[in-house]
Amino acid sequence: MIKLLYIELYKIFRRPRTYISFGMVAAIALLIQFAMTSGGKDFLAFGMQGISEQFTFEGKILNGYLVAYIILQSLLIHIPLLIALVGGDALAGEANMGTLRLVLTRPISRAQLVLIKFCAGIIYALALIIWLAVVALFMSLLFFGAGDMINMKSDTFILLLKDDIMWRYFLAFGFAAVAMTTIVSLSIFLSAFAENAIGPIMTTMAIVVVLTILSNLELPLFNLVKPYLFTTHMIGWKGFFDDPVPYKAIGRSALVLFSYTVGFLVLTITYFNKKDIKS
Amino acid sequence: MEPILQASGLSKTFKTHKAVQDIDFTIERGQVYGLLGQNGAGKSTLIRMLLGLIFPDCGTIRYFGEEFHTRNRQPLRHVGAIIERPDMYNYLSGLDNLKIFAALSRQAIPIKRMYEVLEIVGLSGREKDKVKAYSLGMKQRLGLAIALIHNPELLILDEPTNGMDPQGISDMRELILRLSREEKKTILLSSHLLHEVEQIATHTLILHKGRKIKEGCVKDIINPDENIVEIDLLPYPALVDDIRQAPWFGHVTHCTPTKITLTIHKDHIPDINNHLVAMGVRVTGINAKNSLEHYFLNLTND
Amino acid sequence: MRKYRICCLAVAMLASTLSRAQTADELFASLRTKILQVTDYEARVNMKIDVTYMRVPLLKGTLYFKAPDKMKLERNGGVSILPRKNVKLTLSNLIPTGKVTIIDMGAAAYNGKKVRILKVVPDDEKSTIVLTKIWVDEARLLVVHAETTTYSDGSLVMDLDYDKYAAYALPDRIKIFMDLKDYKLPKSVTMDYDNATPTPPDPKQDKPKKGTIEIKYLDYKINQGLPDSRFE
Repeated sequence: MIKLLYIELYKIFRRPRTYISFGMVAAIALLIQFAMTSGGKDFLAFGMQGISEQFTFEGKILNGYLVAYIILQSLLIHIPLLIALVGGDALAGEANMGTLRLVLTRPISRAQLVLIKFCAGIIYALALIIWLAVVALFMSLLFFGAGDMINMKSDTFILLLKDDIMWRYFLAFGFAAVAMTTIVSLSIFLSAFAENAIGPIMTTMAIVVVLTILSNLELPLFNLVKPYLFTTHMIGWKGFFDDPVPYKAIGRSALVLFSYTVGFLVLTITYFNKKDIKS
Repeated sequence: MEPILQASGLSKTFKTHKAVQDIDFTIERGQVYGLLGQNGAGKSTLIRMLLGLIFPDCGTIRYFGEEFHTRNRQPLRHVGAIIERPDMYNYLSGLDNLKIFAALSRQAIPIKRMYEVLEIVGLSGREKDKVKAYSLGMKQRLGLAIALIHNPELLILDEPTNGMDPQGISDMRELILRLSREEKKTILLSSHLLHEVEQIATHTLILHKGRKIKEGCVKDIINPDENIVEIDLLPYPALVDDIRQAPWFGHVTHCTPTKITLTIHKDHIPDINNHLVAMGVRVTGINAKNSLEHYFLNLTND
Repeated sequence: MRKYRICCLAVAMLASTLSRAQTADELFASLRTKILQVTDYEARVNMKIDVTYMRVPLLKGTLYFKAPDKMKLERNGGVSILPRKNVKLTLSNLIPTGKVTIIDMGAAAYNGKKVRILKVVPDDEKSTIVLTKIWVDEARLLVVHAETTTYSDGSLVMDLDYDKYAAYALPDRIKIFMDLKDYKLPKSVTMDYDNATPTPPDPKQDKPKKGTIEIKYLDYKINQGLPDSRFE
């Protein structure tokens, strides 16, 4: 199994297009960092205008921790889309290339193949998240330095002390990995139905975008379904920047995401086990 | 003889289209088994069922006496396959592709074996080139190398000469014959090129509209009396009248001043040629057509 | 005789009133003298902010002050939070340096202690402060409570406790009670994580919200001659 996983990773990481995602993450992070060096203070003044009427803030508000948070917030939609590039390609891309039929003539079960693709997708997602941590967090800290971090929610202003932040980022990245696992399983699930990678990639992207919009719209009708949408729970990483950290809610979100992941995986294996490979 | 592959009662229907109906056959060790049929006859569906890509509605498949189904794919350890187009990971080298499929074979395959199969298929020296730089013929050979990498006892080759030029077809034919004779592989070969199958196969199964219409030894199927012989001549206006008395005239199916077509045993060709020369007819060419093709066309002609 | 009595009473009342007004001004002058003896200080402080919509941990830092109104909170590279710009935590809010009118509100008890209440009205029309009421512990010559009303930012109430630095009129603890406006950002901008434990709604929605800031002064370094550059 390990050898098969290694082979799968070899296939993923030998493809030039795999690195587009890493390039995009770095480009977005660097762009935001650059924009923050020139216009960050105005951006902050705009965001804090409500609270600045009542309090004065001094010190290094625009620091690496805050910039990293802004980058993560901006990349909220993009990272799942980049994950879909690999997940959506997992089975459909092989079907399109014509290699799927050759792979399936080997003595491995289809469930094994799906699980290997899933594990490889998770490792790819983890690599992307680690890369995100490097460019968003560590490079922001390098450019802007460390400091206390302000976090503005819609109804709460939170200040986190400098020495009380790094662990939150580690847990947030860990949670993001759980969330991305759901995207991996969703995109592989859609990939099982298609003979061409474009379809599942676009469908994954569409599902994530539409559900994210539903998760963020403050309308009574949507409020009923929100708790059941995985996109509502994907932003659970933000919980680690709350005070106190809502561990119960985060745990619940992780459980919902995990359930979705397992659900998609079971559906994929069930469907793929019965699928006639005609490509 | 030891049965390598036994198919029994295999059927498959796609929606309303009956692709394969109630197919039985057995392939024994050492045979080169030709699967013949027109496009759409069900050859590919049958081969995909044999390889577990398409699930039969009913019927059983046994490799080496062991039943093969979704939950038991282990018999595929001893099977290598090429399925239609030689599709591979084009962005990787030939050697990388070999490594990938070697790993998928669930066997410890040393690198030495990889170079060995590359040598067998004639790709030595090109193994580090990216597959996207390969010609179609090279890709087919790499496909064969992939099928051979785990040293399988049975090779299932579905249209291995698809899209190849005449030289490539000839090379592939030689390669398959060598695998059969020297490497002692049992081979199931599917092709719509009857001439190729006739030259390679020891046994054949003819499919038509999803049904088996003939199975047996190629030698038995080909009737030596049924060669279609075409004789090209320089124009000889009174040809029909002059050959009417010849003993072989009864076998003539078509005659013009420049061409005679007859169905006859190959052994009679020299006598006919002598007869015509003696008559003063100037023969420019004699072509004995494959009788398997003739037989096939007769069988499948609705 | 009756007219004489009335006249005497009126003179006595006037004398009494004049005598008390004089005392209030004197008291204010004494307070000002005592406070002004501190030209600058540097104090280690712990700041606790208790505001409905703010979640801020205990902030430890150094508070720098230079007379008349320079103040800065430094938190070793961290973020410092102080109440709105118009109300500085300097005692100049309580004892303005400019021209003021003092109105004696008489004696009262505050936290079981006898105090004198003075109303301080800045004469400067440009002042953002309408008036400040101060509760003065006459015996110790210290302001123990103050209520400031501003033109635009509501009211600010301060409690002051003294101990080791009472001689300099420097408190060991200040608790500020302030009126707060609503804080709300659109959820579509903040993309909140709905954690099912939102900030509890204020039951007195329509009334002004209150918040407190408590500053504990751990130690002072007084009159060290702080340069202006420290406040830049």
